[in-house]
Amino acid sequence: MKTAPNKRIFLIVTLLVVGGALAALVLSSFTGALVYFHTPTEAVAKGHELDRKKIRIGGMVQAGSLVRESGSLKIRFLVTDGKEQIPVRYEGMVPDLFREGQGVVVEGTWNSGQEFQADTILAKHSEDYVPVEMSEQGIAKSKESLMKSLK
Amino acid sequence: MKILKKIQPYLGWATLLSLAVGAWFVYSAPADFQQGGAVRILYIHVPSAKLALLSYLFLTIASILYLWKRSETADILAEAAASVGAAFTVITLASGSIWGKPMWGTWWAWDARLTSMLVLLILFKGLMVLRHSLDDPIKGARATAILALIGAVDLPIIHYSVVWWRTLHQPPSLAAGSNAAVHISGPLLPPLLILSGAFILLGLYMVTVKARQIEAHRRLDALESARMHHDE
Repeated sequence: MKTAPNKRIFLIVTLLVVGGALAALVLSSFTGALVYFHTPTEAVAKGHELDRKKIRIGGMVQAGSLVRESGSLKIRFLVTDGKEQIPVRYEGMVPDLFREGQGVVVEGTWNSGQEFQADTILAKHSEDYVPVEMSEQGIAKSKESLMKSLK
Repeated sequence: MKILKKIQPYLGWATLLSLAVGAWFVYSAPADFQQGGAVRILYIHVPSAKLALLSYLFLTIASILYLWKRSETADILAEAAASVGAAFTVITLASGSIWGKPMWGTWWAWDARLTSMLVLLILFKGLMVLRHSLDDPIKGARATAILALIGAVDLPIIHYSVVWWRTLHQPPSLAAGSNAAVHISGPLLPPLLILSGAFILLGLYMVTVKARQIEAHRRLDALESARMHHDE
């Protein structure tokens, strides 16, 4: 039996894809590329280094900071990690879990000291699952878990 | 392999029963305070993810046994676990995506947890393809077992991804060990525990059925090539 040529190509492609995926994952594990977002404190510390780059900042939507412009889908709010806060501007639909006092990841561009221009808003869910009858406890718990995860 | 034939019906009934009990608990579980009814996706997603990782662990152990003892049974079990693991990895990714769209606001995010889980699917599929890419089945089995061992590096990465790196995916809700914690309150928890058990039974049942099928297939192939040899 001799190896059919297309079988050999299959073999090579398989090894390349699997090996490549594994190598990419292991390498990015060490370079920090797997960190999905900056915290506001990190972003402020980096300052102008992040200017004009597409970045993600994650934190909590500061309670009481959310302003909706009437007659449009424009919103403004503050993202905070308890130490620093960054003002964010966004226009469009927001996910179900987006609300004040809850986790959020904003994607867009930011020039140090200015408003963050978000083109995508992702809600960050905490690891807490609480029956609807225990909402009060749930809100407190999920806040605590979120702040812990930002450290 | 004989023991598999014996336990198959028992496993099948135990799986069916535990899935039915789990389904009833899911049906009667309350809504989550934020997610509402969508929290029920958790009951498919988490048990599938656990089972996908356990399948790879099982596959790794079977591969070591195969390379070490040259046991064909171990090789058959590894091949069966690859298909079952791939199926549940797909269910994990799909159910997560369906949950992610309304909750996070996106179907997919290239964060550490999702990416490493996608690599697991590529691994399972790669193992399935590699086995049949070599003409000599023994060589195919050995190459597959070696790749499986290399790929095992993905298991700790998946498991700890949400702890080691900041991810969009939430950290574990059920943590064991030094910082043990349960983040699932009241009646939302039992369905998850029951279904996690039920899915493990389901996985064992599927591996059993698949392994017996693979063994039968190999025997048929051997008979056929013996007959062709005889005819010549």
